[in-house]
Amino acid sequence: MEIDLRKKDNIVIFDIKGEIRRSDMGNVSLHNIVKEQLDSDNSRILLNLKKVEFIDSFGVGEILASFISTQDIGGKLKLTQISKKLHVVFEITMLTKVFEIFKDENSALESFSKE
Amino acid sequence: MLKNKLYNLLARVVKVRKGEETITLLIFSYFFLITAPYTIIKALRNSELLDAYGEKALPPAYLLTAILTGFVVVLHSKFQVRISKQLLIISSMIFFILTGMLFWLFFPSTGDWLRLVYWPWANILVVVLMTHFWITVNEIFNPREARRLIGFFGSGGLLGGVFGGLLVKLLAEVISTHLLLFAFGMFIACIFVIRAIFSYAEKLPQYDKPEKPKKEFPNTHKVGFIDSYHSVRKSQYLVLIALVVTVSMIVSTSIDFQFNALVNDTIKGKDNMTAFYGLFYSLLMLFAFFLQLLMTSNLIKRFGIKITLFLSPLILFIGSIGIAAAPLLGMAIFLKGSEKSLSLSLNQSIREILYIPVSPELKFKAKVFIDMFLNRFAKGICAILLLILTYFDLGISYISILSIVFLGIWVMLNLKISLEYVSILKENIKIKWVSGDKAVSDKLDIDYTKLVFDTLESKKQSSVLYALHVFDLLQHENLSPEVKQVISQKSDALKAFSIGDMFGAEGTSVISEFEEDFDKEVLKTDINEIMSLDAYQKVMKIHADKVLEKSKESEIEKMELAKAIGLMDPDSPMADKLETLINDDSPEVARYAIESAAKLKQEKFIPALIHRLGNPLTRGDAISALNKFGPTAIATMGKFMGDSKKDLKKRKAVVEVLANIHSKETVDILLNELDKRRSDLVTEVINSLDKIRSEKPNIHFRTRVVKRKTFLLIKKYCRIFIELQELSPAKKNKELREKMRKELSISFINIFKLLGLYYPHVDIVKAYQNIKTGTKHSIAYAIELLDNILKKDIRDFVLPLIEEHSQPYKIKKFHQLLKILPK
Repeated sequence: MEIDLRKKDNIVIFDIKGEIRRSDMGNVSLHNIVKEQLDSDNSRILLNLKKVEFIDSFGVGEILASFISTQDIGGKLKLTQISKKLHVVFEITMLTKVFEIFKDENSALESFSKE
Repeated sequence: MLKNKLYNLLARVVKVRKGEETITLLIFSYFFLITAPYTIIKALRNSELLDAYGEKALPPAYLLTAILTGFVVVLHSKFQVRISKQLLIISSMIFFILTGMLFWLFFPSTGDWLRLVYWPWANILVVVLMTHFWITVNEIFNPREARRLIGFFGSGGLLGGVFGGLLVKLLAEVISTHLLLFAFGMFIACIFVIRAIFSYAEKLPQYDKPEKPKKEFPNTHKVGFIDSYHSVRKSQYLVLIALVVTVSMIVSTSIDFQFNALVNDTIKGKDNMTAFYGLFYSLLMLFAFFLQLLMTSNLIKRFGIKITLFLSPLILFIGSIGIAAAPLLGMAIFLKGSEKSLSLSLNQSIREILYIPVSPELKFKAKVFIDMFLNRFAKGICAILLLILTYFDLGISYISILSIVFLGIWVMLNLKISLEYVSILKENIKIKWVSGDKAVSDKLDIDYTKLVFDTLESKKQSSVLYALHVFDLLQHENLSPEVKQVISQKSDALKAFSIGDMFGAEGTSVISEFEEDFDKEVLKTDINEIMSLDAYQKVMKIHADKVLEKSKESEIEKMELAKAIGLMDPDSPMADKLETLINDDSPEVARYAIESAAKLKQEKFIPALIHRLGNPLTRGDAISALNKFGPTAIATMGKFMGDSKKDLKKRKAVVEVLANIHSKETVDILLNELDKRRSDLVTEVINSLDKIRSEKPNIHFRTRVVKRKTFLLIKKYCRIFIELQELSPAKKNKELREKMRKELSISFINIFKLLGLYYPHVDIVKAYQNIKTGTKHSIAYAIELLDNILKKDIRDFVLPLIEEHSQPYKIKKFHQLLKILPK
């Protein structure tokens, strides 16, 4: 898994590539990186999963943990461009009811600006 | 008016029903008018032959009879397939009158050889006339009716014998062979009676006639001899009857020889002998008449067919031992008297009862072979044995030993036939219907069907609910292409937020997406793992709290939640939310929550599920969920059912659920409820026990409790019946009458369901269904089956409820039952 960070309109965008799975996790986890950003007062986070090829339950757990951490400090974590497969998994687990998920980055950014 | 008088008169001596009086009297007269002349012919037959040749002529005479009867049988069967029964019977009678007249004409002028011809003629006469008589009885009455009236018909024959015997005794020394003229006079009278019987039979309503032969038996009423032989050979039961007839005939012939030999040794002079035979047959018939009238029915009723079968061979065994030890005329009179009187009364009735489980077509066919051929064949075999024994000058004692050997065989055959009888009765009646829920559950996977419908419905409700359903559905291995197609068609309402829309894949099949992109097992594991995450449980709890806080507008979200919890671990924190969802005001939400509770099977949900039994909208789902809990729910449900303070509807539903948990524990809990002095769940408990019994026949039911309840229900049935009859026909009582009729019907079925708990369930179900909806014949078989399988202690109380009788008789009988029913 590779994560590139960029910032746009005070929103930290995580461009994630590769696979988010337990076996591929090194010293750095998605949750840790999100926490670092939260510690740096970046409480508006957008996870762009366009280039994520695979995500397992551990990966979903990382997203969930990141989501909770963000919520805890009153921030927002949103998702964009998730794969068809992941959307199905999110629907079955009802996570579509919890996460805000957008088709593309612009509409996600727009939603941040409306708040 | 006249018919009423006749009915009242006959009803005193026989269980005749209204409308049967004329035909019953005609059949009685028919039998009288063939046995009276036959007794005259027989007395002359014996004395003429013994006087001319002595007892040594008896074995050749028996043999000649056997051979000639063979020819007559073949000839008879040829006529039988060509002409009607009525014509056959009447023309046979005319034949015997005309040929008999020749004997009367030539006896004085011809030599002794005519006596040798007269003997087989007399024997053939009785075979043909008796067979015709029983064929007529079977043509008119169904087995059950015949059984009821058979004693009375038999009495007609026996009275005829008494009358004929007395005529011989009084007139033998005066008019000798001219006695034959009386016999032929009676035969002529008999022809008119036969004509009247068949005229009556032609007027019988269609339903009263024996069942028409089916297509596979196109001409069964006209049976050839070979056909008759094959029909016996193919049935193990008929073979047994045939063997019993053969052996009993050998014994009878052997006894006849011993008796005639001792008469010939002791009484001198032809006319003395004729008079002796006249008196003997008269007294014999008188004895047999009283035996028939006073004892036969009672013996069969009291001991059943299985025990009564052994009475004759046992008495004859004692007599044969006696004659072997002391070959005297007195002993011979006892032996012959016992043999003949039993054969005319008890054995005749038993034989007709043994034919009850045989279909009318088969019985008719078999009787031609058994009665007309086998009887005589056995006589022939015995004649050869007697010829051998007399050739070596072996005395009466040795012939008695021959009887004893065959009596042993007879007993063994009776043993076998008594076992076969009940099993063939069972085969004869069929199950008419299976219970509705069993029929549905056998053919339909209800859970799967429901899921398919719910999936379709969920398409209109939300994409999450739809996804949850599709995921659930994919767990089924046998998802048909048709179902996949129906489910995958998108609904307009779903377009705004469906999976397909999100990715711009208009018209994409969701099922295909699932199947192409996911390994089902991997997906299942992923979903389980995600749902087990603490983080997941935490966020979902927050979501659930928000949803549950809302009122009606969050119905769909609650449904999603309820459905999703069903996929989670039973111990997950989210599972605690299920109880609230089960109790939700929305039946739809409750339904999903109930389904999830059934998946998680946590005991803590049982009270909430029982509570849901009270709501008709969720009752079915709650029953189904509790069923899935199985044995773990028995104790809680048992406690609830037994608490009379709880809601009755819910308690009834609990009983219904218990019926689906087939365990000893369930049975015991239900029996405890049944055994209560006052229970408002009697019918429900009986239905459940019946269901368990039909599914698991091996579970033991405490007979003592079930029997006690059976007696109580019989009492209830009798009381309601009596009260119903005594209720004034006024219009104001209409409602009450309806209510009582309903109660009567419920009690009746409950009695049978209880019987099915301690008697073979299938047999009781067959009997009940045939009694309720069967034809007249199948009802008769059903009653006969019950008569044979129920033990006396219960049979005597159950059969009066079923048997067709007049209302006054029933009321009287029910009053008697109420007095003697166990407290």
